[in-house]
Amino acid sequence: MQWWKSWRRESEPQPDPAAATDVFLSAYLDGDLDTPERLALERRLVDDPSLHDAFEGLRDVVSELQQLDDLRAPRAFALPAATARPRVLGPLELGLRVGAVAAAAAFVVVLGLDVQRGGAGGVRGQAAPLRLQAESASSSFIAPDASAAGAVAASGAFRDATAGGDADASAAEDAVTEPDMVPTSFVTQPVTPATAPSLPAQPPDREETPAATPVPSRTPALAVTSASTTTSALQATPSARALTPAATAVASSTPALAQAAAPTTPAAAPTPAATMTPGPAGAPAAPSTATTVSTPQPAAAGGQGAAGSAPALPAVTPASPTGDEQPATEPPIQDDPVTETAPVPVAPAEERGGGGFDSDLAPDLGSIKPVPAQQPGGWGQSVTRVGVTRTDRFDGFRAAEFGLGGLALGLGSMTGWLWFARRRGAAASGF
Amino acid sequence: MTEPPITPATPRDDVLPDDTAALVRRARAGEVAAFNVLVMQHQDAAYSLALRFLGSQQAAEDATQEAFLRAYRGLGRFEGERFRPWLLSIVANAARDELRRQRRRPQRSLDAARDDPDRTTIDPPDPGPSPEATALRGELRGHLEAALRTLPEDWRMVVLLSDVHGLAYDEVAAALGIPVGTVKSRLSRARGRLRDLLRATREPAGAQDRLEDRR
Repeated sequence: MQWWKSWRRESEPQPDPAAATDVFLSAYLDGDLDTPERLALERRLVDDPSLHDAFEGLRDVVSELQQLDDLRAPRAFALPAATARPRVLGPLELGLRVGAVAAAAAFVVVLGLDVQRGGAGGVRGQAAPLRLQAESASSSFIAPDASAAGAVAASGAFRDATAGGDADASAAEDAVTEPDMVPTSFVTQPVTPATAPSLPAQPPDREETPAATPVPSRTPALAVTSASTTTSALQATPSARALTPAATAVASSTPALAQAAAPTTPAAAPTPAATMTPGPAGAPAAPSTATTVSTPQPAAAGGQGAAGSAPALPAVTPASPTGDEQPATEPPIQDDPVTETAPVPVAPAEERGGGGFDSDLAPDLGSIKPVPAQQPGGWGQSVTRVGVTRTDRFDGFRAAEFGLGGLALGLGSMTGWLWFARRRGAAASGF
Repeated sequence: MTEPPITPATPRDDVLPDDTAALVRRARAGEVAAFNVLVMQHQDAAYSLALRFLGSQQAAEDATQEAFLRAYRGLGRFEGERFRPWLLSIVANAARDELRRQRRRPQRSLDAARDDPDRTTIDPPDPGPSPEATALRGELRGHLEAALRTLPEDWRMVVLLSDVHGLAYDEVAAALGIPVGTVKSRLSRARGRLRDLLRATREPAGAQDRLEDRR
């Protein structure tokens, strides 16, 4: 591309003829014209005095410009020796950088753990209703106290999907009470008519209640019913018989509302005996909501209800170590409203590694030590409040995520600001 | 009257290329003292370019210092044999950056009188032996400096690099990042503008001389 074309682009829309002439004159001065152009221009310079005058003026300007000497610098611009030294991070900047990286890494780790535990996003949201159901079931459970032989009913047996549904089984599995996660607080709650209107009163003393047999591992599941506005409370009826070793199997504390349980289970005369089966040493402390799953028991002699019929739901009173009745003296639990009612399938104890019920293994209630129900921890672990097991949603993991994320963001911002400020300062000072 | 010879404040290329290359190599190795030798050799040229382009002493100092710092940090990218054009290209860009920075944040320095753009003269270097020659030379330079300051910035930088500091077309084009044709066109137009401006300033003096000759 000819260079004057670019000049033409830069020039005004109506280029000045004198400026166009100066282009050739300037190129001639610099020796940038080829021979034909140079000869043609030299002929014109001879013939045209005005062009020659313009050329002389241009030559004078160039000569004057070339004779302009350098101005003396007012100071020395030598660089200090510190400029050559390798830049060492200051302690503040180094600390900020390390801290930002560490906080970011910790944030990622905590976030990963949270996600792995199902605490993130949809997993948590999906499990929440079932967890609430389990909570309500757990809240209805009555245990005398920690010394009362565990005082918790946990069947530990897998309830078949006939009661809970396959879809909910897996999701609710984490809501099942593990033996070491059961509440130990003793709370009694009356049964509200709205939730169990047809439930006859359970005799306070059911000595003729047969010893509960170990719950078979494939006992159909029973639905755990919870009231919509009030927790389905079950009255614990202490029973001396329930303290027998054989009674350590199951605490049937739930009305057999699930019809699915009826065909395979005789009239559910809930065994008031509430016994906790201590988990084996190796039983994993699943971070799930402690839940009491009621299991219908075969109708005892003289028990209420008939086989195959809709089981009556008595008020269940947990066994008392002393055999005395424990009247429901404490106020009902004001739990969060639970609007849904769904059966909670429980994984088999063997499958969960939590052990099963075995009367032989629990000959003496005194040998059963209560397992601490509370373990501080992160998401998914139970928090017992007045006997109610529930799950905190905003727990340690979430707090750690927010804290570490904010810390990483803050430290990173400070590091960036420091870097930018130093660059600006170096540019301003010349170093 | 014979015109006294021009004595530049700093010789432009008084260092042999071999010496310059050796200094560059030592400076690349991290020896600041070697680079400072180069700085002392070229700082007047760099400062002159910055001052004539910016018109402000303080801004010229800032731009010159920044240019030397950039040059030191960019010694690894220096591959040519001519150190001076390479350094002046850095100074030119630093001066243009300084000008843009001043436009973003206009401010008046405390010595506003010295930095007054309407001021027609720039502090000249040590002129030379003769006072008359000094006066004539200073007057001519003053006119030329004033005319330079009226040029558009793009033209001014091209004239400074090409005519004042002696860079070739391609070197100016490389320094400013523009095509060579653009350099030529800007240079010719700038020269024509300077010619017209100098004629306008000389005409009154010439007319006065002719009037005195008639008397």
